[in-house]
Amino acid sequence: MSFHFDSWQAFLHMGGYGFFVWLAFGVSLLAVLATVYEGIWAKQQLIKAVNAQMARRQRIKQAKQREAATDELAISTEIHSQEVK
Amino acid sequence: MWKWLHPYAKSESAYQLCKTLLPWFAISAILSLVIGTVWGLAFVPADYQQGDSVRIIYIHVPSAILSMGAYSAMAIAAFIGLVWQIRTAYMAMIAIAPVGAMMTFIALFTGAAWGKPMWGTWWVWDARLTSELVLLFMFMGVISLYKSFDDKLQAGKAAAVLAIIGVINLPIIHYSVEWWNTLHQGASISKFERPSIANEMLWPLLINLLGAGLLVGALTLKRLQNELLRREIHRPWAIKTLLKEGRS
Repeated sequence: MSFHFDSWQAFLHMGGYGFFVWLAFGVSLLAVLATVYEGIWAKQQLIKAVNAQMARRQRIKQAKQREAATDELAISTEIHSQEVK
Repeated sequence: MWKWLHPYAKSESAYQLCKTLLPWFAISAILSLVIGTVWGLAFVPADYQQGDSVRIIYIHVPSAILSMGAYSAMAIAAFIGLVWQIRTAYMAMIAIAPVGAMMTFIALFTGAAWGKPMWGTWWVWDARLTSELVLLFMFMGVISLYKSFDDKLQAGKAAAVLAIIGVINLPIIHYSVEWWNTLHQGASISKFERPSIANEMLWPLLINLLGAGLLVGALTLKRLQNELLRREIHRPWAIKTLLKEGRS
């Protein structure tokens, strides 16, 4: 078994069929790479989605805490104002 | 007897299994595809009739075989989902579909790029080419039907029925070159008793066939992982996995 072509030019030329051979191999490679990329991209989207979901939970928790704090403040001022009366 | 298999229907175990298998599939796919393609492109002698255009065979035949293989695998997953009511099987089905569509596209495209110099035309409406085009439409049909339902269990059922009906196309593709007079040539390597192809051409072809199979496996594993996470994104295991992998 040995290199079939005499030169790199001959390899690219493919005995006159270069355009068709390289077109077939090139487009196939692109199709495979696109599918590989889709898999990686979809995973990134999922990570983003879960981060957004976590941030939302965090915001809800903080909002509730803030609400509770203001409620407490309101109650204590109410008590205070009643005491003043 | 098959009871050991049952735990793998659980999403988390299925995910872990995919994760363990993926690197092996990916590495061996890349290795065999590189070896087979370089061997076929640069070291095999040219065909005495077709010259160097024959080198397209090293992707055309493996991708065509795997397009049908992927369809069979998808239909088997669909059947398992329908009969045993396993959600994970539907996810496997929809994970394979775009990979099979990609293989079918490659088979059709390389066929066109080979047909132009050899037959003088990119495309003819002969039985083999048309039935392979129908296979591409079947894959697309399964994907679109699955996408058109918001309830993914309903989506899985509907797409599974379509996938199983489409199996009728597989024997039509295979025997099309015998049943009809086609421009496409007959089988070259599936005649095991005496393959009508030279040995030095057969080896890189078989290596690329193996590589294409492993590639379909690797891409399906990756897509199945994504599908499992997508469907269970509110479950603790998926959140934990995604957060961990988002940090690294």
